[in-house]
Amino acid sequence: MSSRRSRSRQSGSSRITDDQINDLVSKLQQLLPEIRHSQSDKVSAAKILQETCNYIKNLHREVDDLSERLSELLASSDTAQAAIIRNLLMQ
Amino acid sequence: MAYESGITPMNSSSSSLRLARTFLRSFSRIKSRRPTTAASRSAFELRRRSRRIKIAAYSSMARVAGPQRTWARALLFKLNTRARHRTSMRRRCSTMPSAYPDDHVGKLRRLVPGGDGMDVCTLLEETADYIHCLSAQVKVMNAIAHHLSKN
Repeated sequence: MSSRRSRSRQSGSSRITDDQINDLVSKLQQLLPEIRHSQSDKVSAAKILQETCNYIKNLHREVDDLSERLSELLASSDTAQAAIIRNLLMQ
Repeated sequence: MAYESGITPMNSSSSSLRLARTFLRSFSRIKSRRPTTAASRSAFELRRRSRRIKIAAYSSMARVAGPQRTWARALLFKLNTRARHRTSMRRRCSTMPSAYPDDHVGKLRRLVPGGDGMDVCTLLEETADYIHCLSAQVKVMNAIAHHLSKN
């Protein structure tokens, strides 16, 4: 696996250029609801990276909260909800 | 499982659907192991089950993303080993040079599974894909919660 990775690095560009990184950073910006619509030249790369970290942390927290929520919903459920889940699976 | 979508981004509706199905399948299995209604309401049961739901969520995401994604492989490895030693997650210091302040890149490495060993370009690519998949997973879970609480 490591040999495959090193080969692909060499066949591309052996050096990472600033342009490549800037391009990737602005792609990241498009994924961030907070700063998606800001003009890219107005937002620094550091700011985008920081917002990216915050966004991932928020999403992790949402998964935590939703896991708890779903656990509670299962507790208050009866067999009717097994059917609902099966129905969802069929869709 | 076939990964016919290759390296196409996660936002296509077919992969969202696959994610929903994969997660629902694990989720329905968690439900069916419930012994009795009384036991399922205890605080211990609630916590245990929410932990299992969380593991099902992350592992569905990683399986749908496919093994060509470094974050997915790292996440599955972490999920498979974490039961034994949860706190002993090693944190390797990366020797990769970075063009941006190290604390931001370093933070990102810690948040994206497998981010420790990546060069900056790979880290940024994997981060974008990870965010895609993570927000799709949140949408799926929200939809199920909404659906269950309606009934």
